[in-house]
Amino acid sequence: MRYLGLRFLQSIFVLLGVSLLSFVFLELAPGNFFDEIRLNPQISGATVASLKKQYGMDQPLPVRYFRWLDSAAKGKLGFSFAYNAPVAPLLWARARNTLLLTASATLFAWLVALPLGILSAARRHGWISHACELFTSALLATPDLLLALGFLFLAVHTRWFHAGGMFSRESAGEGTWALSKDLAAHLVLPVAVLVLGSLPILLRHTRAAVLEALDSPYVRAARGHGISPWRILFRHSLPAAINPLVSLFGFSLGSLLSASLLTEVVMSWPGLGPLLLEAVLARDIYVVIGAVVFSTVFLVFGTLLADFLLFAADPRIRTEGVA
Amino acid sequence: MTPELLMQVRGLRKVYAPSHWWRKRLQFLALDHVDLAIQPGQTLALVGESGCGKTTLAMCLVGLEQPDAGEIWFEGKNLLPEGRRRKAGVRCEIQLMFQDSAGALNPRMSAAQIIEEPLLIRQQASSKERSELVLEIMAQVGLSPTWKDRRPHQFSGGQRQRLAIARALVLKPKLLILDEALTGLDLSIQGQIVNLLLDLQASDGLSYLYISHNLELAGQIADEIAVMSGGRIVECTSRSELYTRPHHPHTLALLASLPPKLAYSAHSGG
Repeated sequence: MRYLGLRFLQSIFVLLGVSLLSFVFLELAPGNFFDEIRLNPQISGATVASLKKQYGMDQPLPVRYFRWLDSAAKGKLGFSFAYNAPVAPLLWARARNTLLLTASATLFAWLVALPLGILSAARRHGWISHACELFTSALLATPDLLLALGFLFLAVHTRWFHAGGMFSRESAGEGTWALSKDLAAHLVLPVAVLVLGSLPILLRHTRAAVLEALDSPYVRAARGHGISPWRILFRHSLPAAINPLVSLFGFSLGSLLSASLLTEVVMSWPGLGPLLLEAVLARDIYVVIGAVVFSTVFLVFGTLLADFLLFAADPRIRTEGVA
Repeated sequence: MTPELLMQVRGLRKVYAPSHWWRKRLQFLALDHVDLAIQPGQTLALVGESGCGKTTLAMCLVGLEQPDAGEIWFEGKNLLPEGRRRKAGVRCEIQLMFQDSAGALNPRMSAAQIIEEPLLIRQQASSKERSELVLEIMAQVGLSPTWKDRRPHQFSGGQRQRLAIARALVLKPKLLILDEALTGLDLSIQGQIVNLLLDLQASDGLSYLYISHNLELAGQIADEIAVMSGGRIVECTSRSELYTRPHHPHTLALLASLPPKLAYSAHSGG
């Protein structure tokens, strides 16, 4: 428990550091939101100055940082210039869409990767293993962007899938069932892109971890004592292979918010991706900082969860922790 | 085969030909026409340098490797019937102990679980009978029953070796193959384990196939010694015969590598 408490404290410091760094870096970047406004000849310099004052942008960096911390503590995460609203609700509405997308993609990717990885390790010279290797190499060499564009091309030409967006215009105002059906139809393509993008890494890690466990001396010894292959796979090899996979799972949880940014922009999914892109282009700094801090929270939470799962999964860590 | 033999091996041959589906690699002849005979209640030592095929032979005998040719007879049964793969059933009577006892025990299982596991494949005993059997065997190899919930890393090297012996013995085998089982242990633990093995042989009539590159220790526990080189058995005689009248140059080389005093004491029957 002491260990977990320490980890928790550590994560708070990580969050503080990340927010401070994003402040400093965005300050270093040339230009700000008000420079864009100043370019408009219809707005006088006095108006811009008063706007700046109104948003507190005339203050020095440390003051602004502490004000932002105060607003973060109140759950607002600053104020968006472009949307003229607190950042947190704005982010949250988009993050929900992103999470829906990435969570289903992660789920499907693991559902495919685990059995395939285990199977291709158990039959290491079988055709499934070779097919997986070929397939993952090809996927690794394909940029996600190309995949997304390829799928869009397919969708537009065949009209089998919805290309972009989250809901169809016609489905507005219909029942929950029809809405979720429409949502699922829109999810297919972006989820497919994300699954294909993350599958090679998950598959290869699973295969490598199970292979390593299968080659370990105690698995050989168990085989020598006549233990059945199924029991060897499930009782001996999988528990040994689970550690790297748990860490990987924590990481994939941690990158839930940031993994799909590009795909969202290309597939026009109304998630964090497009919002962040607009905010960066418009120098809407509090939205950018909010999004960065938001995804850091997820990353930290994911690794924390992975540590906790490792703690639960490995009896050695448990006993050593107690002793 | 001769009826009084426990195990007889005739013309065993194993070729390693690691090949991929796109290319064939060079073949390696690991076992070349190996003949062996093990008497019940006796110890045969198999001595040879690293890479001469000792472990491959052990793997073939327990069924972890499939030999390419030859016969293995165990108690009058042919373990390699023509055209059929070997069944797991016979392995109960032939157990193998590996060199690296620390690595050969699953670090996630408790001592009791490790010893009990071979019993599970028989599935005759109830779980109560199984745990009784485990405690009995632990006492037999000199492990306190109160340690049954410990994990392998909580045991010392010698205790782990005893744990490995307990696991090999729990199925009541007739032949125990010890593949470098005493290598890497310090001398006092080696002595303890050797004594334990000799006691078990006296009480249960176990046979051992003791595989080692160490002629010195082999001389202490074996009734017969077979010298292996390059996948072949080059010499197989009784212990005293080997030390007094070695034939093969390889045996001479092995004997010459012993420290002089030890060679003398082994010679004089120690």
